[in-house]
Amino acid sequence: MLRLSVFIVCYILSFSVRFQAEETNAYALTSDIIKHEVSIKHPGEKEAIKGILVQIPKANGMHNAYYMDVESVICHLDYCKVIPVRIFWDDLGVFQKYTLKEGATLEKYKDDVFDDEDYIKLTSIMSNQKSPYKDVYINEIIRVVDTNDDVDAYSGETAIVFDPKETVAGAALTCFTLWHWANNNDMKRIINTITAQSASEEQLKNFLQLASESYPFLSIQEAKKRQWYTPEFVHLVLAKTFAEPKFLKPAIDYIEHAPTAVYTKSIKEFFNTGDETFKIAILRSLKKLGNKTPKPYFDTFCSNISTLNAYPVLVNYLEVMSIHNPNSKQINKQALSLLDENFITARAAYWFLSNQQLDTPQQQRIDRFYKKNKERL
Amino acid sequence: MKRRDFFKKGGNAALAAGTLPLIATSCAVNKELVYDRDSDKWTQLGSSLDEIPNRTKTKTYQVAVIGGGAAGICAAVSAARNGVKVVLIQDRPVLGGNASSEMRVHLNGVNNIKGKAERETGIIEEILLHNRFENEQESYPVFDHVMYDFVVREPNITLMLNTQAINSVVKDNKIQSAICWQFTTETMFTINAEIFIDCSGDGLLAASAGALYRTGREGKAEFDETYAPDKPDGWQMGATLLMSSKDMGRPIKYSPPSYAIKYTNEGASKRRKFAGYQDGIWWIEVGSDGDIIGDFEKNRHKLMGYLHGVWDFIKNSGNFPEAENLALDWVGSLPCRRESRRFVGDYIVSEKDMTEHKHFKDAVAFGGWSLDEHNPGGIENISEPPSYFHYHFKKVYEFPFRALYSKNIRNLMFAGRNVSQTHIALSSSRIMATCALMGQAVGTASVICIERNILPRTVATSHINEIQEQLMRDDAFIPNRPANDPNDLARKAALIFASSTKTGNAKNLLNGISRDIDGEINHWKSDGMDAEVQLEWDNPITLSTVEIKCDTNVRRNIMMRKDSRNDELYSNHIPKEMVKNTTLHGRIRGKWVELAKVKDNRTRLVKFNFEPTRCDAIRLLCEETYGANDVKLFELRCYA
Repeated sequence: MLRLSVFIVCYILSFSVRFQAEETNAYALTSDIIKHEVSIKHPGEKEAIKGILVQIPKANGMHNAYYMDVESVICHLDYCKVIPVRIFWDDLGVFQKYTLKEGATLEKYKDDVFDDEDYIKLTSIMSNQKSPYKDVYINEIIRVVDTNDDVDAYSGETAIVFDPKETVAGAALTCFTLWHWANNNDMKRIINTITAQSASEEQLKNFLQLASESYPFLSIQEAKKRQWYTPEFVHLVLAKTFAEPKFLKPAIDYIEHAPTAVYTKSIKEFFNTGDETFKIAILRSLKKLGNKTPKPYFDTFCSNISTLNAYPVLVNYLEVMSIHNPNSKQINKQALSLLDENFITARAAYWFLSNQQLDTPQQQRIDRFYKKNKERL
Repeated sequence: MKRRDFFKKGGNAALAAGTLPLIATSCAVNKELVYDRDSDKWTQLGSSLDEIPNRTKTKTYQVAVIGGGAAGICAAVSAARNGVKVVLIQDRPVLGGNASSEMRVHLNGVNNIKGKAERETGIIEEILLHNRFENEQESYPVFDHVMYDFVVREPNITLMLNTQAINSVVKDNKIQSAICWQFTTETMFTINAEIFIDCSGDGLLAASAGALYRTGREGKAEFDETYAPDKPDGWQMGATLLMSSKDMGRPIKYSPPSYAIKYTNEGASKRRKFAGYQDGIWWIEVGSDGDIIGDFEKNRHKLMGYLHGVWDFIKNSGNFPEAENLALDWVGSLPCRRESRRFVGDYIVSEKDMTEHKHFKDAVAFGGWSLDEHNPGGIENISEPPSYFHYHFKKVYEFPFRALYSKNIRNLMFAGRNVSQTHIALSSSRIMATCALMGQAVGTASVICIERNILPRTVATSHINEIQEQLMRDDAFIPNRPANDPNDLARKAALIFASSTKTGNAKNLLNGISRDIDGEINHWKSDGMDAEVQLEWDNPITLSTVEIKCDTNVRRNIMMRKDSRNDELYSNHIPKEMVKNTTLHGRIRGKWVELAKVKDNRTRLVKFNFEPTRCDAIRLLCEETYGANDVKLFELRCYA
């Protein structure tokens, strides 16, 4: 269940914004930024928090950056000093850095302030996607006065104590608040959505070629949404999938939403080129296919059944033929050749053939098989 | 040592002196106790009849389980499901023991090993899952009823609430009967059974039968325990009184009651924390270095005083301004006990069995909570840390069956905090879900005893394989002991394969290890839904049962917590990984036929039962989970 109820309103501002140099170094100093109203659930708050997520297109058009201004601590009490913090993400929603306004400082418990090492450590904490703050509940941290405190959080009798390396002493709530902003799953999802939606077709092609796992997924999903099935892009998707089978599932999903001609052509290419995993995935896709595809397509789907040497592929293949291409002379002939294989393979062929319309010699052949193996059938 | 002598003799001495009111030991052959109330004339105004109410009853069962906490429930349910008639006797009006609404302790287990749970499966998991379905609001009183439902729906269980086993009739070192007082009906029950299982914590029945036990702390030397005191002493960890508060949205004043004991936190150990105080403070604890049971009422009164004293400190010291709007919403009156008697079995589990991960051939349970020994003195010794947390486990430890039955009372088993172990071992194994695993083990053992007409020790010496196999079939996990059930026909399949595989391998479903553990993958995980697993046999076989174990994410805790914590370590809902809808097909003479369908599944162990069917292949279709995009299974079994 998506915990976030989010709405995004995009509007391009026509005015220019000048950022502090350190915030923008890789980006154009002036550009048309895009602001998105977002409503995000933060584990420190019961209600979603509304904010403005700013998208900064990079000058060369390749990657975006995003930032949002948040508060340094989630605190329902008057005595917390709240400092605005600007958090930056890349175009996959991965935390990059944070900045403060000129002269602003983050505070610790008992009116102490962050020193230089604390800021470095905070960056390290926020960059660590496996930080212990990921698993800490805010109730374990909100303990405003604890005169004996030398650790930041613990839980019940298990006494989960933060390693000093994992926290800024005296600033647990700040670390908690900012970590959950920097690594907010809902923010990540929103940024991914914006990145995909705002990508040009050229960018989608580029995404597909990138080594990161996230970009090709983003690209394939977005192409499906746009119903973008040019021969060039489909070919790129197939090539990517052959090279990296982890994209098989989104690739099949993409092709399943293609026009029939694209689907049948692509699926056949997948089947005849791919390994056992590919073949099974394709056959299961075909099982779901409606009856619009003509039988001859299936007669030539696999030219040589003996190449289906993996039993799981064979049984799926025979099931597809039962559904879409029953009583095919071509397929029956292929299946008959399997009766001399190992018993389990032969049995599968026998059960398939016993439901087909056979000519007399074929019928006699399977009758002989039955007579020989009737105790095992 | 004198103190131990007192405990050993205490129970019997009380009976011999006739100090139990209204009970006299009969000289009759059956040795039953007689409850004599001739003077009780029940006058009915309607009928004008005077009669003496019948306030004595004798009942006979195959197995009697004393104590309705997590251990007792699991013992009773496992015995009942495996076919014996069970009575479950609970001295409170609700089930659940420390986890009941009367006490409200989190039902912890191996909560955290290197940042992840290693959760208990089997019956205790079923209870916790049942609660997630029936108690979304996370109410403790509703949890009482969830557990009640879990027990009374078992046709082989008779549940007796408000009933305490106060004495025993023993012959030839076997308990013949438990004498039980049901205070709501003023009735004295004589409960006859072949096997008795004492899961009551304090173990009054077992003690009254003369079962050997220990109290206090062993000295270092006896079991070579690093964390034991140099010399033995009588200290037993205390009981805790919990409370919870709610935010009223406006300032709420608090005045402590007359019996409050002032608390200032002056000189307190730095490890005496207040985090989460709004849901109770576990170190409001008072123990005893003497007769902790005899001290109980005195300690309860103290605990109530300390509870209000600490709350007064929170509300009125000025140190907790965020507590201004908080008001006490529930306060416990029944302290949650940690330690008293530890009965002696054929084996006494000690610290190094746990920390050195001793492999027991008779392992039937496991644990992994830290060696969480609370400080002597409890809240009356605040300069000490409230717990020493001597040792945090990096992996689970095994718990042997020989620690779960009495050394000298031949038909007596136990599960829970009263089992055969040292004080230091107890500091870890006392946790409720660990106790529940022991409960399932002894419940299963009781069935073997009944079916084979043997006693627990014989189970240990000659039938350990049998009990382990049954436990694992019933979804208990035993470390370092893969299942190898000779009746499981899935292991005779010629082929097993899956429609897709994201991680693991379909062959793992037959390897006998029902979770990923020690860095080893033992699962098959599909790539997407509508996933299928197919088994083929060389020749047709007759099947009537197929069982799968699906993923419920044992690396994430599912017990109800007062703070409704929901993160990677704790969840407050149904595990999204669990299979929801699944269908089993069999191939009968070349045709795939639906054999059974499970809709809205609620358990990790999913059973398909159908008429005996001859087929040469089965195909399991997993159609839906409770939210996960892929389905993950750990085991598939087939039975004739």
